[in-house]
Amino acid sequence: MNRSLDTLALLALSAVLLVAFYYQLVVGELPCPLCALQRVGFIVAGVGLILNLRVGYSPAHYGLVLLTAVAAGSASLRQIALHVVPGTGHYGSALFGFHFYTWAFVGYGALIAYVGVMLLLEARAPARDRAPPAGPLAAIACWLFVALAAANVASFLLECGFGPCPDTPLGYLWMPGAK
Amino acid sequence: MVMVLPFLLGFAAALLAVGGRRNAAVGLSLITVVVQVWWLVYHATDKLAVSL
Repeated sequence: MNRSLDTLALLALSAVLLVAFYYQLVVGELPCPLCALQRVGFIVAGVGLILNLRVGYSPAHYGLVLLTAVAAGSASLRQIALHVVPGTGHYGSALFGFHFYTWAFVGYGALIAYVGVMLLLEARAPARDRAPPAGPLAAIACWLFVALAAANVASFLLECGFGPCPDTPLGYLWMPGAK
Repeated sequence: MVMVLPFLLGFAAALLAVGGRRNAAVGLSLITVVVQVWWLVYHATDKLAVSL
């Protein structure tokens, strides 16, 4: 059961990255530098879950998730703080009333809580639950996530090249005219 | 700062993880987190007070 929960969590992280791509590619809202840091956090969190699914459970894998959740959650908090004072504006659209950096902060908090729950469950789980799952869903989830990570590499190369990203990106550096 | 660097590192870590290369994946992920934190500190302390 625990590895099934990890599979679902990995699919949830993939959904987060997919929503981010939707707003980037369809709505045309390019990610800012802080946005990029938050996306990286979700990618590294996914690596921790992939490790559980491919090599079996280890608390170190959840430790990775925790570390990146704290780091990227700090980036979310930074971006919230930049815009929390009335009149300081915002970055990007709101989804159900909250901007994406706020949702990212909620997401990282949820990841931290998830790791806490899973570590408690693992303490009582039989040994067979710690092995990698055999079904196809876990493999599909892993490869989907890897594909999304690759897509992010391509996206930021196109947007920023090999240099820093602009604070308010208006287009793609390597694809002038595209939005 | 090369913005694509943490994404490259994270993608490589994900590939290693899917390939079952546990130690390499964990090591590369930790490096990614270090780069992430370094970039965040740089951004938060930039004297130009970048807005985003």
